Order: sequence, then C-alpha cells, then structure tokens
Amino acid sequence: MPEGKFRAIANQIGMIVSAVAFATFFLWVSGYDALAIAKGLAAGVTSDIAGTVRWATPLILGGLAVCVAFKAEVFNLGVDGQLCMGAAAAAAAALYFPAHGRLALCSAVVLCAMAAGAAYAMVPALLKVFWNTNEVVSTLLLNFIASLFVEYLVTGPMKDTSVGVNLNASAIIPENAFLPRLPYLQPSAANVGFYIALAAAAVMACCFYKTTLGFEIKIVGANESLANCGGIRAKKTTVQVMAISGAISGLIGAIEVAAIQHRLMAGFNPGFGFDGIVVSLLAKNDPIGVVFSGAFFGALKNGGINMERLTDVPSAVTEIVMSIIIITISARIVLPKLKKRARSDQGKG
Amino acid sequence: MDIFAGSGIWASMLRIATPVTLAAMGGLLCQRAGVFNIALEGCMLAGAFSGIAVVQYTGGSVTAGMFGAVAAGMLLGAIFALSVVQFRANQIIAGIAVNMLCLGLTSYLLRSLFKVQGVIRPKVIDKLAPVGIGPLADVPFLGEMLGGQSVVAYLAIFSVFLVWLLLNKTEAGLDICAVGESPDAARTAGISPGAIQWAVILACGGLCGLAGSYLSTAIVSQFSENMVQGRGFNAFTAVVFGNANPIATWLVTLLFGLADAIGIRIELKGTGFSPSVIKMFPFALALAALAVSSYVGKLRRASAQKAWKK
Repeated sequence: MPEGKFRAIANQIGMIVSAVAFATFFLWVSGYDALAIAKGLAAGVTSDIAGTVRWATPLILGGLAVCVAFKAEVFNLGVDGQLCMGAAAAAAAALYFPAHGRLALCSAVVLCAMAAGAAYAMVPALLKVFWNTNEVVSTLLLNFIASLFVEYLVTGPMKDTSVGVNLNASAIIPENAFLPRLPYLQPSAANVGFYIALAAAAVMACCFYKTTLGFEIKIVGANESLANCGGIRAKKTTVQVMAISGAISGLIGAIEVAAIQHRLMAGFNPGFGFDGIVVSLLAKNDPIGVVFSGAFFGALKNGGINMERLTDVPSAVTEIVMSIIIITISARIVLPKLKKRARSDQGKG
Repeated sequence: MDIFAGSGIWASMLRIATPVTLAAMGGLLCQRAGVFNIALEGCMLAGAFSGIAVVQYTGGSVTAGMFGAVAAGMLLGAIFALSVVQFRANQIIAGIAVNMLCLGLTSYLLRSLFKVQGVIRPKVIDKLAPVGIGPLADVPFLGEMLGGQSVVAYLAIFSVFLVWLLLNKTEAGLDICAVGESPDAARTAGISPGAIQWAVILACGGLCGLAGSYLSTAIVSQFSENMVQGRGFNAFTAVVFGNANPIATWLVTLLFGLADAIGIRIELKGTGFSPSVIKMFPFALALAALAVSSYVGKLRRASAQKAWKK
C-alpha cells in the first residue's frame, strides 16, 4: 500500500511538472521570461510565503467544498455562487448585527455566512432530489444570479454612501468584526482563516474515514443504487453533502469579507469555486491531499500575481497551468500505463 | 447598449438569440450523441477572441474573422473530444477544463499579442452588411424582425433546419441518435461511436466559434475578457428545456433572447430597477425552465412506468 501511495503522489507531481513545463514553453514562444513561473513559485515558498498563505486559505476551503460533493458524485459547480451569498451574509451580519462585542460579532459573521452558503446550496440540492434537475447546469446558472445579487447589493441597498467613496462596495465593516490577521506574517493579508482551513480539512478527513456519514458519502458516490439497496437514503446524503459544501463555501465568503477586503465589493471573487475543482481533483478528492494541493495552487497564484506586478508576464498563465492540470488528470493518460506496467512487472516476478 | 436603440424589440430578440441558437444547435448534436458538453461557453469565448484577432490582423475583414473563429472553436472542440472520446475523461470535468483554458488563454493572448488588458477594439472593422429582404420588408411582423439582420442570423435559422433534417431525415442522424441511446448497440450495428462523437463535438465547436465571433464582431465590435457571460450555459439549458428537439430548442433560445431584449428596454427606459437585477432575469428564466423540464420529464417517466406495469 505505501508503494501505491507513493506512486500516486509521484504521478500527481509528474502532472504538475509537465503542466508547468508546457506553460513555460508557452511563455518562451511568446517571448516572455521563460522561467517566470518557476521564479514565481520559488518566491512563493521563500520570500513571499505570506502571500502564499493568503491565497492558499480560500483555495484549500474551495477544494474541501468541492471534494465533499464530488466524493458523493454530486457535481457542485456552484461554490462560486454559494461563496458570494456567504460574503453578502457576512457583510450584512457585520454591519447590521445588534451586538458589538468582538466574539459575538465575529461568530455572527462566520455563522451567518455558512448558513447563507448552505441555504443557497439547498436550491440545486432540493431541485435535484425532488425534481431530478441536473445540478451541473442549475449550479452554473445560480452562480451568475449570486454574483449579480452581490452587484445589486453594493450598487443599491448596501452601497457605501459616505463622502469621497466612489466604489461599488459596501461600507467598511466595524473593526470588531474583523477576523484577525496573522501578526508574524504582516503586512500581508494572511489571516486566521488559514488555521480554520486546516482544521476543516482535519475534521473532514475524520468524517470521511471514521464516521457513518463519510461511509455513506463514499457508497453513494461509488454506486447510488447499491447505496439505496443497502439502506442508505442516497437523496438524504445528497442534501447533506450539498449543505456541507455550501457551508464551507460560505466560510470562504466570510473570510474574504471579514479578514481581507473588510467590505463587500462587486466582483471580489476571482473564481475560487472553479479553482477549488482543480485543487480537489489534483488531490483525488482527499481532504488531506487538498491541503497540499491547495498550498501548491496558492503558491502558483501568488507567484502569478507577483509575476504580473514585477514583470510583464500576464497572470492568466496560472489559469492555463490549472486547466492543463485538470485536462491531464481527467484524461488519465499517465495512470493506466503505469498500472499496466506494474501488473506486467508482477507477472514477471 | 445604444446599438439596440431605434430597432424593434423583435429584431433585437432575433439578434440576441442568434449566438445562443448557434451554440444550442451544437450542444443539441452533442446531447443526441450522448456527450454532455458544457464546453459551449469556452468555445464561444475562443470564437469571440479569434474573430476579433483575425479582424485586427487582416485589417478589418469580418468574413475572415468568422472563418478564424470557426477554426478556433473546432480546435477547442478537438481538445475536448481528445480527452472525452480518446481518453475517456469525465465529460463535466473536461468541459470545465476547456472553459478554464479558454478564459486563461484569451486573456493571455490579449496581453501577449496585442499588449492590451481587458478590452480590444479594432480600429477598422467592415461590419457585415445587413441582408436585403426585398418585398418581405413590407410584411408587418416579419419585416420588422428580419429587416437589418446580418447573414449570420439567417445562418442560425438555417442551422436549425439543417440540424432537424440531419437528425430526422438522414442515416447519419440516425447513427448519432443510436450512439446517444446505446453506444454498445450502435457498435454492434457497425457504427463507430468514437467517430460519431468526434464529428459532433467538432461540429459543435465550429458552431460555437461562429456564435462567439458574431457576438464580438457583429454585436459589439470588440473583445473583452469573459465577454460570453453565461450565454453558453444558457444555450445548454435551452437544449435541456427543448428536450433536444431542434425546433423546440430554437424557440427556447428565442424566448431567452426576448427576455434579454425586454431587460435592455427596461434598463434604457430607466424605470428605477437596478441593472443587476434585470441582468439576473435571463438566468432566473433559464433556471425555471430547467427545473420545469426536469419535473415534466420525471412525471412522464413515472406515467410510462405505470403503463408498463399494467
């Protein structure tokens, strides 16, 4: 078993290396500094580790939100929409919640965001369970509705009307609602959300491997009819999984609002939901793996942003790397060959 | 959005629906052949970009731009087909990958080829001249709707009938449906499911490319990052709501177009509605359409089962 695990990890690393190599080639062809990605990644794990932590936080959480749903074969492509709703709820809680104590306000922000994310995820989940609506398309459509809803809030009812502010954004939330940033990583926006993300990963790993719910999720994902025959109510599991996924997505929204932007802004979300899909797929939908792949993509994203600021290399190149990684993962070009070789080696032995 | 001012609402409906119709016809072919293709969105974006890019390089030729866009759409279709058909990738995940690739690649190329960020607007662009419709122009409703449309709008309508003919009157259409219904049975009958799926995915890519270039070269004369804005997903929803029937799907795309056109009217009149809320309208309509069609499908299946048991 350890050898198999080693091989699986080596396989994923091989994929990353080939994707980066391909993108490097691409940069070289278009006349940029070919080593830009490598340099960006190197800076991301040495001099600018704080930036990596800042980006890894939402990516790990996004990966977890996706992985719990994908594990049950529920394709929640609506993490982006759910996190928009979470962010809106977080900002609303911070601005309008009657209590003013630090603990009360912070927990109100986080809980409201998680509840809003989970509630928004219920729309596609219930449609799927009761009316058999394909969740892929419904979640994609709900993403657009949610981001337009945030746009509506920050241009209408929640718009910052104070003098001199001309932003499509809400007012700055009260300081007591700020989630703390990490003091030893100042002045970056790295924040306590990173620990929340790590804790969430640990909880989810326990849930997957030690609880009944985790087992049910796995069986429903593997074979829904078998699950139904075995007394697992697959529909209930689907709803539960979407609720968890939505709550985690809402948490991303809360962290983005309460720890980073400190206000609700139009278009604040650079697509963490879809990035989460890449994170989760690279980790083969394993919560602990998600931490590592989230950290890798955090370094990549941070490197891309630095790259664009310091040189003229477009940061869109990170999206290209990501898409190449998913294409190679989903295409399973490498794995079957390795398997075949392993089998034939055994045959010879 | 002053481009829409002064023309009738039916004309703007047809104009807005045109790219969605083209993409939906591509998606419909894939759906019939059993390919769940959400890469429509990405292929449209690639088409929109290459349309404008070719226009820029050829000094304004929109026709060349459209051919370039079709080629780009087919290229992305080829990537999708390669991973889905050849390497048996999950269709949803491969679709997401293609969409992400197009988003990244178009912004990257925008920066590296044209040294601009966000938006490119070619200085010279010879827009396609509107097609003359002769005596039809005096017919009250049709004249208003069809007058001043570019040739692509007619191509879109033509594509609907072409797809209908293909699926209902030709052997190739039968093969496509057979592959979609049961690939194994099709293989037994001597049809190669892989070849059929390659063909429909490539055709779909080409149609989406054309749709994207219509969006960028004919409607707005510019390319901006992520300009497709969910039209590909709307096209996909139209296929589901139209039950993969060409005529029904076409009517659904017209309905979406009408919703959009009405939204633009309301926005122009300035009735106090927030523009963001109005922009939600087509998506909400699509979601409602999707939910209703799945509910009807469920009822139909249930009654079929009941009849079977008797």
